[in-house]
Amino acid sequence: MSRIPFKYKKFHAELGCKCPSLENLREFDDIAYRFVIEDLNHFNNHNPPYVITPARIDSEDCCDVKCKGYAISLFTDLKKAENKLKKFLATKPLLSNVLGNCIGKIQVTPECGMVDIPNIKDTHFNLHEFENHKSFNITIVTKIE
Amino acid sequence: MNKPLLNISGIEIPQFPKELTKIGDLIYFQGSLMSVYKDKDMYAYIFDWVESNDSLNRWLVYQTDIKILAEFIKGKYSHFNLINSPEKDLFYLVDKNINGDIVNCKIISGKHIPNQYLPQNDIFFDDEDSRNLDSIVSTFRLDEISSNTINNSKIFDILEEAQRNNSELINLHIKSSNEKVGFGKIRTSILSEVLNSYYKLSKATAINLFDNKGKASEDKVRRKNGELKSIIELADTEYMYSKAASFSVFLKPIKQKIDLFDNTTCTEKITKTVFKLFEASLAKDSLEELKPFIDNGMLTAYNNFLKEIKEQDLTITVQYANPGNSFQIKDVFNPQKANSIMKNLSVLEVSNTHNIKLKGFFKALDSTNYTFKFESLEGDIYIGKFSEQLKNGMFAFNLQSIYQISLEIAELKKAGKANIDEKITMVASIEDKAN
Repeated sequence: MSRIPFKYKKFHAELGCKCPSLENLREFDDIAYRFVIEDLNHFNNHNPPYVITPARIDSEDCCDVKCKGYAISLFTDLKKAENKLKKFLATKPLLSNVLGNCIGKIQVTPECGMVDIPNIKDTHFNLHEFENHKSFNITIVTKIE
Repeated sequence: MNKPLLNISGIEIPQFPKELTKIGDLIYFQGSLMSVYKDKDMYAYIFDWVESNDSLNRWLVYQTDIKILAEFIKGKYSHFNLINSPEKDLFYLVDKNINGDIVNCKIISGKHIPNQYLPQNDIFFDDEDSRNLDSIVSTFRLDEISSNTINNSKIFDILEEAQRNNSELINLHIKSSNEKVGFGKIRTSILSEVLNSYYKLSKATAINLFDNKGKASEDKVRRKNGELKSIIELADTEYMYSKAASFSVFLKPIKQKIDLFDNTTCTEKITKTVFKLFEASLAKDSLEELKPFIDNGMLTAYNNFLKEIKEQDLTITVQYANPGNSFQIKDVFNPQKANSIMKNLSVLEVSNTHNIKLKGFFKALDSTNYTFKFESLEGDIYIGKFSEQLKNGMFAFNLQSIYQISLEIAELKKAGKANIDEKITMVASIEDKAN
């Protein structure tokens, strides 16, 4: 059970449900990949989707979905992250202004927060940051032209 | 500073005219990116995210036929096809604020959708990206819609269009990743070059099919006197109409001729030959096998067609349908494929020589360079040089008499060259005193 409070605990409380569900979370200590904007200091690179405005929130979403809106999106596999971003940008070119058009490499440690289990197919997972985690040190590894 | 969203022409309306209920998401990542809604009459609407700034998310909203939605989910229709086929040809542009409230709403024409809002034309549905897909399928009973309802993933159903028009149709669907081709609009220069290069390819194929230079064979019918013009007309088409969808042109043959032996039209034969060339040119081996049936006219016209695609960064889908026998065929060219085929064509080596005998007139004689221009009675023009043996005797030739001549035609194409060089030498010439 997590002893360190989560960074977005205030928002979690407002959801009025069990967020995040700790039984499904665990530690992670490895490299992970993220869609980032080339300007590494950009707000969107360091914040979860529901904190980035305007969020695409659906008020009827279930607790679990809304809770993940306050987590950082990451991938364990670089190639799969790249393919996913390429497809998103081919589908919606202006998404590059929101998600970015680069893949950034991040070292995630147990001190950053807790993660859910990566999706088998696309390796996407969510990191719920701890309160004392400030920001990530991101290195760009790929740029989608 | 909050950057404004793109300014799109349209008619502003005070509110979205329908009351919609969300069913699920076709694309979801950190929030909805493409959602399906229904109205009270169970019509399906798509909310397609297109743009945002610091305060607004913008959606392209359109009603879609559930058959098309079913085919999209089955992976047979692309995302582009889906946007391309809105019910009533109507789009809404909807801006929502951070609370999800609609603050701006416009009715827009498909012609005004900017390229930045459109997907590339080879993007298909991936259920991995979806959410509540089961709800979408069950709400509209999409699994009960058979694939026979819409035959296959065509840009337009070419056979349906051909049947509707009761005519063979050729469809050229042109798309570009740049501004040259937009939704329902195209630069005149691009359209004219594409139409012209496809016509020249058809014309060269028609002339090749009804060849007069070689021996008649099963595949090549020797044309008769005076038939050249009518054969060229077999390759010609007239513009019928276009449809919004990047740019899609429908062409109809201006002349129809049916081969009584196999009951196919000449347009179908020409088109099948053109498509045979398309397919064979994908690989060097198959192109080698087709080599005896390709002439300089076809090679040059094909190269120019591909060059246009490559240089203008176009994607062209070519389709043909004959409603008489329900035959249809399709091929797609993009700059990468065009480039690859052009490389295959450039390494093709052609080297053959053959002789032909003709009757006709000299149109021009050049005693300085020992060259001639000769027109056969069938209307073919030959430009070449006199052989060493004939050079001294050329002064006896005139422009009025009919001559029986023998020509040696040497075709040579070395690897690295785009075209076949054709060298024509007149080796014999006798005045036809009978005429």
